[in-house]
Amino acid sequence: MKPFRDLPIQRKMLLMTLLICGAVLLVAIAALFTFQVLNFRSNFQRDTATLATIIADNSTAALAFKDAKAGAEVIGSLHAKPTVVAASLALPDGSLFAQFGKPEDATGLSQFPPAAGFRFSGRYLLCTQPVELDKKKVGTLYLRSDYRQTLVQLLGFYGLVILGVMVASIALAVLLSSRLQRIITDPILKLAQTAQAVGVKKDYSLRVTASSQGDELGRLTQSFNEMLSRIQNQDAALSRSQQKLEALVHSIDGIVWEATPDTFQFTFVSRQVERLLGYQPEEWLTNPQFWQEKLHPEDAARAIQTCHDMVARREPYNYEYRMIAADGRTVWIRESGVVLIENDQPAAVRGIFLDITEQKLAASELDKLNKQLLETSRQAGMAEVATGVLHNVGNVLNSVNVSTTLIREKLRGSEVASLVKLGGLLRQHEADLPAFLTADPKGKLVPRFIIQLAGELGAEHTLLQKEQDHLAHNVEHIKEIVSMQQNYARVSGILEPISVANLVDDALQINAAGFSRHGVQVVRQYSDVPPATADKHKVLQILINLVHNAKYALDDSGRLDKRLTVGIGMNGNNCFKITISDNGIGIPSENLTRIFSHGFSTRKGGHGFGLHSGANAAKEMGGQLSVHSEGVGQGATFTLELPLTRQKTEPRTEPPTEQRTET
Amino acid sequence: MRSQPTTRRKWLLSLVGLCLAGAWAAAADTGPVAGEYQVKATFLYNFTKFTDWPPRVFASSNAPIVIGIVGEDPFGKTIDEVVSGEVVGGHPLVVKRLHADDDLRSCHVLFISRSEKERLPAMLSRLKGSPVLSVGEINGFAEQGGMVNLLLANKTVKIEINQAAAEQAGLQISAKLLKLARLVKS
Repeated sequence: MKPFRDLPIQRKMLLMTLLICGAVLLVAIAALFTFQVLNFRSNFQRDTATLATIIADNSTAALAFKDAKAGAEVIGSLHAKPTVVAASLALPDGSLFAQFGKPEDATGLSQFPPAAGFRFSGRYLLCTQPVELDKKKVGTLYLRSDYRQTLVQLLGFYGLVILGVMVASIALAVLLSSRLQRIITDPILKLAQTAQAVGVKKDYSLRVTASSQGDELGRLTQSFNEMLSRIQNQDAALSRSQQKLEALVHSIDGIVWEATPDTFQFTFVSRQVERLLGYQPEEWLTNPQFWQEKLHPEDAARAIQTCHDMVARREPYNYEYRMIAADGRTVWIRESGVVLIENDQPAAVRGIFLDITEQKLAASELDKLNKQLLETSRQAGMAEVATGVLHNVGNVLNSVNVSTTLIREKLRGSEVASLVKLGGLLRQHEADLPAFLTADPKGKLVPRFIIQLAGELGAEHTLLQKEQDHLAHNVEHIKEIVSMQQNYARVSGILEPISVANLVDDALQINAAGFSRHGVQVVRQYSDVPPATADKHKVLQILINLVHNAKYALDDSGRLDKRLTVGIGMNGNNCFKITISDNGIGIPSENLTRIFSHGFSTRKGGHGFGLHSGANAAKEMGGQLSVHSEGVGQGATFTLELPLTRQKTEPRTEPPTEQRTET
Repeated sequence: MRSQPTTRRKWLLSLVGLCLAGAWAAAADTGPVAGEYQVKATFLYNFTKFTDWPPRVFASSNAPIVIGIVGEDPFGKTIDEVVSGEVVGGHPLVVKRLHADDDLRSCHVLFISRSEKERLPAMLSRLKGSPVLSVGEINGFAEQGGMVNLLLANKTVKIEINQAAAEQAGLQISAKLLKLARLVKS
């Protein structure tokens, strides 16, 4: 027997109706019954009282006149009342006068109420009725009625009636209930059926046929239908959204994935895995060790360990490794992942695999190219150095040229010719030399002329001597440059202790001829710097180049007050700095950054290597070459900074970056 | 189950009852004289209860009902005892002893003693039409026109009633009494 709450509602309602009807009926019947039973007694009593009164009344005469026969006759009429089992008339003195029914003996009579009244004794009602004639007692009537029999009969009768009524009522209740409860249960059942159908078939297009009820059931049905519509719409929207999302995820150019944080069993893999690795998502998901199996053998251990570590750290991560694709090729994977935390525990790992094979290849290609470039640069650098050397040699040769030109000029315009002419003149007048010298007007000039000539020739000589010195110096320098170039091809520059001031002076000296010729004032602003260790020749080359450029700038400016200021100092970073400033044509701001570029030159016929190789060289030596100019016509200042000492480094072939401009 | 004390009580009462019954029987046996006129006196008294007189015979509502005894008084003080202090229907009862030639119509109930047997018809004719309940104790009393006759038979007093005579006199005798009596016609 199912518990009450699991019964179908129709059964429930029926049972409830039955229960209610039954209970109500029972209460009513019980009440009536009790009422009847209670009433019965009093009714019976009243009935008996009436009877007793009548009999008593009728027996007054018999008693008064002591007519026992008549008395017996009177009470004998009680036979008409079946419930009366015995009756007796007694005279006032207590003696029996007449009897009816079971002879009442004294013991019986004693049960009766003494004077008048009723007593229920067991199954009998005992009635004592005084017989009065004209208010005077003439005797007593004793009635004994059996009420129990009647009662039982009555109860039996009532019982049957009750039973009948109950059966009929219940039948009626069942009938009516089963008809009427449909009003309530039919809509409910319809709802329940539809709800179940919706749940089973997951078909949200079902609807409950709208009942025309305006009560709660009707509203419920309506709400239910509305809810289904809403669900249907939401379902469709969700479906669309999900499809969109799925399409999105599967269209991302990478394998979107999700896996368990402990065993890395994958719970989701996007469709791109087919394209990128040639595997089906299904085979990936069914094999809990799929990822581990497809790792490249060399990377497998590292990859798995890294993954575990990252998950343990619970931070977003990415790292690279190789996997084997379905067709056997190796694919470089960049894995980016995040750890999903739920209830303070890693619940899942999610991320994306990106195919970086091409990038890796490109990187290695790049690497190769870089190496090639390095080599080429080296070669180029060397070529550049050669060019630089040539440039520098060219610079020096310029000076040599200048010197030799000076010498030639000097020699050509040498006053020796005049001396020769004078000699000739003197030879002409050899005979009368004293007279010539003292009398001839021309002759009188000769001593003066000779003295003048001596002076000039002396100066010439000094000049020539100086030039020759310079020449020798420069030639020496060229030799050094060339030998340095020879050395440079094999080993890096030799570091040696240098005196910065001397080095600067040397550079100036090389160009000194040019300065004097072009009227350039050279100003020296030397501060003391500690002895430094550097590649003397390289530094010299840079300085020569700078000075050369300054000279050209000054030349181009056309100023009359050409000035070259050379400074030596420290820059606080344990570097010494040499500044070469001129008030020449300056550098337009747009050229400031390009000035160190390879091949940049503003001079006609310039090959543009000078500053470029100078900057490179400075960088190589751990320093830098920088420039500042206020603009066109404002002159320029080049600053070379180099460390006092430095370790030996590999020749770097970095491309020159834009130099910082310094004030 | 009745308990012992109750049973004993009942036995006692039975005994008493029996004795009473015996006494009664005995009373019935010992001399019709003593008991007879006790009974007849009681009857007379009771007749007043079962008879209706016309209102004119009473001067007022509480005028006495006169029970007259004419002839030899067989009752003695019995009747006086029976009647004394009794009121029937508001009328007190009075006993009067009369001589034959007294105004018999002054009674309501007249007991004609056995001794007046000879004078009976004359008395009855004198009473004829008057609302006096004539009671006799002689055979044939009722046939002669008397209304009620009390006869002793089988140790009991029987009643004979001449209803017509009573009706003629304007007296109404209760049917209850009539029922007990042997109706006689004159």
